[in-house]
Amino acid sequence: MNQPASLVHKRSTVLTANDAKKFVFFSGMTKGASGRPIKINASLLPHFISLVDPKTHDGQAVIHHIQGLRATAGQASSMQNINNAFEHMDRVKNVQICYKILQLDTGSPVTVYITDIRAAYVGDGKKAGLYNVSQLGVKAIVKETTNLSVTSPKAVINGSSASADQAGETALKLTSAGSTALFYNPTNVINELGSWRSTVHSDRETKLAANELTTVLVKSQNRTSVLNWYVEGEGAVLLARALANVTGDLSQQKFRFINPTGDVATTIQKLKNKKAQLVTETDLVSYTGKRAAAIAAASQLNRLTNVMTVEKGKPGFEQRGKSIHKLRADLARGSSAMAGANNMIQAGKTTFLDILKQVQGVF
Amino acid sequence: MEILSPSYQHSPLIVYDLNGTELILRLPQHDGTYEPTLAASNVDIFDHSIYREGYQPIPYLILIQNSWTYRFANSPIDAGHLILGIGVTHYLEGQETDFLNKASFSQWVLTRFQENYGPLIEEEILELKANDLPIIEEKMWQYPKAPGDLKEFSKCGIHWCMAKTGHPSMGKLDPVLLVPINKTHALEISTTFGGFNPEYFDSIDTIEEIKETLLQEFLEHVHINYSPETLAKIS
Repeated sequence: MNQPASLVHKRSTVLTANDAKKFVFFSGMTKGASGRPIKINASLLPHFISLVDPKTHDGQAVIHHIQGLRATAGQASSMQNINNAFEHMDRVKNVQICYKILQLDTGSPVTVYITDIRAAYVGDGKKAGLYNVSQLGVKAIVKETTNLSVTSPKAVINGSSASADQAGETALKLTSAGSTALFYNPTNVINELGSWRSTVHSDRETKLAANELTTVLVKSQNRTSVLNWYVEGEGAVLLARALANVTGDLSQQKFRFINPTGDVATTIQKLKNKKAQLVTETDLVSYTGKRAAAIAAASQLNRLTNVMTVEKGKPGFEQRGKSIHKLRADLARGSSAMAGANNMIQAGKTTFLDILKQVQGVF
Repeated sequence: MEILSPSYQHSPLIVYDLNGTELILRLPQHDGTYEPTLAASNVDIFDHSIYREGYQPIPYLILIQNSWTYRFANSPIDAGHLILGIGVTHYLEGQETDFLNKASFSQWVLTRFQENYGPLIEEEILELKANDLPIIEEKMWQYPKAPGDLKEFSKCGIHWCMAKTGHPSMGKLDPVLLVPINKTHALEISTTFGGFNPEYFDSIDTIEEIKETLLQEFLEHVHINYSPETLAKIS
């Protein structure tokens, strides 16, 4: 399967002629016949599909806004990067659209380049680290813990979340527990992890968060009972980073992934290398219909199912086999549609919006 | 900076018939990472088998779990969000009291907070001791302990209690409201404000003022209608 190696983009503040080759026309209306041409980075396709559903009113509003950039790009309602006058950010419905208005060389038209599309969270200023969450009456209550390791039976690493409070609500629902530990993965960290790139934040916060998680993983190894980790969404990317610095093994810790993004297959292999337990009682990797994750998985389906396979005769062989079968069935259609879409877009045969229309029925 | 709320006027009108007492509110569209909850509108609150316990063994019947976003005007970023939880609870065996009597209700509300937070404080003390940290009350779980800690007010012809609860480590406390449904059952309305990153505001006081305004705006769209028989018993 011909797929991009990774969904992670390199950060850049300028657009070189070489970068520009990755951009395709957004739609038939934006080729420059009226107003400025609008191009979009083709590798944003999975992001775009996960954030914008053209079948909804909000999704249509986002598409309409982008087409409108032919005339309105860079106007007062958009936010300008203080460090770079060519960079702009517009808010439409639930997403931020980042773009640059550039003339790459004399003779070519001034063009709007859409460089990023991402969720519009600004976070709550809380730091990455261990928190406790409990269901108290009708609400999830959250506190920072003073413990350096997880003392409860379950722990969650959250994905994209607008606040620790929201991550807490989600953690209780994921674990079906009255109380759980939460390794809070703040949104500004997620922005840097490549799932939603940020041109503003440095890599420093991600490093701090990953180091913090490394410490928690290592210290939680001194338990007598097994610790059950629930890794959600973009939390999988943070875990991958934290694992790189883990010394010793993680045999007292058991992992499962819910809607993971990033390169889950490699992360699972790293966990295996650390002798971590991988859940067999239930699905090791499961999806609840969040499209971002489904797409990420679709582009690595074969590798993922290979690394998930349990040897015949080993514990969990049968259950894991069923789980893999289900995953394959669920993702097969999406996987081939994404492969086709990527090939067409890379060959420059079509516009971004045409592809979107083609795959929208799949996810 | 101006904050934009969801349009309550254009949000669905939710109506619950709680065995003769009506709860009516405008509920903005859910925007969150978890599935919202919306219980059936004719749920039987006297059927105690449908109540669930949380971390503490205290029964709650959750009606609504929902979250919505507030935005800065003319800006591509969110300001924050409100996480709403509404549920029904009742007094426990051996606590016979009359919620329709204002003084009895306030007393019960304090008891309920103690039942919920008391064991958490005990756990927190154990955690602090295990980590060789000092035990400082102001840095531990906060909840109303004396009548003066409750804000009491009147709305829809009945007495309401409001208190701020939470953990200081989160840099904020959040409002919880309690109001009687009848003699034995009460509504608990929890409003947790997430986001509101201090980095984007002038001061913590500004944030608190904004949250207070947003809470009042929400409460303006919450109404409870009591039957004439129940109204006659309110004292």
